[in-house]
Amino acid sequence: MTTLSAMAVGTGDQPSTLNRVPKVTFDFWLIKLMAVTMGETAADYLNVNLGIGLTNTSLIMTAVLAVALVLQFRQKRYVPWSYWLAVVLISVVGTLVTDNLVDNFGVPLIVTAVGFTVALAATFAVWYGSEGTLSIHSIRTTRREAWYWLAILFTFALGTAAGDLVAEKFGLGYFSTGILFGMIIASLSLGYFFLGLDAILGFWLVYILTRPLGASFGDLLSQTPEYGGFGLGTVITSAMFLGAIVLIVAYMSVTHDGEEPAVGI
Amino acid sequence: MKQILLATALILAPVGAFTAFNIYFVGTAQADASLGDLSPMKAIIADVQKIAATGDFKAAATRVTDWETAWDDAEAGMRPLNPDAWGKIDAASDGALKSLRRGTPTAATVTPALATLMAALTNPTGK
Repeated sequence: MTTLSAMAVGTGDQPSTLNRVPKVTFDFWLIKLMAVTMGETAADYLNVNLGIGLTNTSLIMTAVLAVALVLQFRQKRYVPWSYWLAVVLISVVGTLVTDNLVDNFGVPLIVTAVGFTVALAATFAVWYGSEGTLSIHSIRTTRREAWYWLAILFTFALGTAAGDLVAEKFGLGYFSTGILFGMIIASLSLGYFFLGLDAILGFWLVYILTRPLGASFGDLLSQTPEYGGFGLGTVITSAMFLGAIVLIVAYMSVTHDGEEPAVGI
Repeated sequence: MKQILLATALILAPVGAFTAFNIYFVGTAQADASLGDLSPMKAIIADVQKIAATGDFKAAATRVTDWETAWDDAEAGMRPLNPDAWGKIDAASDGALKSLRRGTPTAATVTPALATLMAALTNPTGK
């Protein structure tokens, strides 16, 4: 708290003007990548092992996510554990939503991918119309935070659909898929650092693309050596990532690494 | 608008390079490519068939869940090797799972569904 107050005083802002979501740092992307991998394997694990069917699993996890979001919205500032808990659960629910559309309703992946692209674009359009900014550095009201989380949910669903589409329909293995999405992310990063690519646009594009990259990475660790993986299995892979996420969140909580005052309008 | 164009170019450049590399150096997947060693999977289905033959469909349904887990876990590695062959087994798998889980399973529906799955596993490329 002393760090927080010092930061707020140092920039001339009151604590109520703190950004409610984290600053985008190296830690941020590291934990985001692991959270998405966890989300994918955890969704598969719950779906197969709870034995209550895809629909019931989805309903239960959506309810758990709703509780986590209520906790997150009540913080009114960035608190690592509640923020990242919400991200991990959104990742699980986003995966389940796509699985439901494909398995239960027979919607083709190409339709889901286009549908979520339109939904995400509409979210940004209405967000911009309502707030006059899409900045992730000035999430200081509950309404702005709601836009932020809605956009996050659609990026996860879109990332899942796009990754599955590339891997399955175009016959690419998880290794090739990982290299492809890694190359696109590297290209966008170069664009941001050297060619003046807009920070907010670049952020959201990379946010979508880290979903399939994380899924490929999880497959690489969990698949058997016969299929070119490390053969750790989904349970050990998920447990490892969960452990790493908990460690980084604990580190962030101590260092207040991702906290920032809200800036701009 | 300029930003959108820049972003599009930044995405298309690596996609183009990757696609060109794949076409020239890797080639396209072969229609008769193997899905790898399916014998552990076949062993589970043989076991399910043995249990179902005794008429204990509840025990067979429990055992078939082991198949479902193994099949789902292997998807990421196996499916791209030969998507058509994989799809054929997956469709047969859905039929077998349904026959054991929906309503009251009978030998009349379970036996052929399991036989179809076993046949797909034995000859996935349909030759």
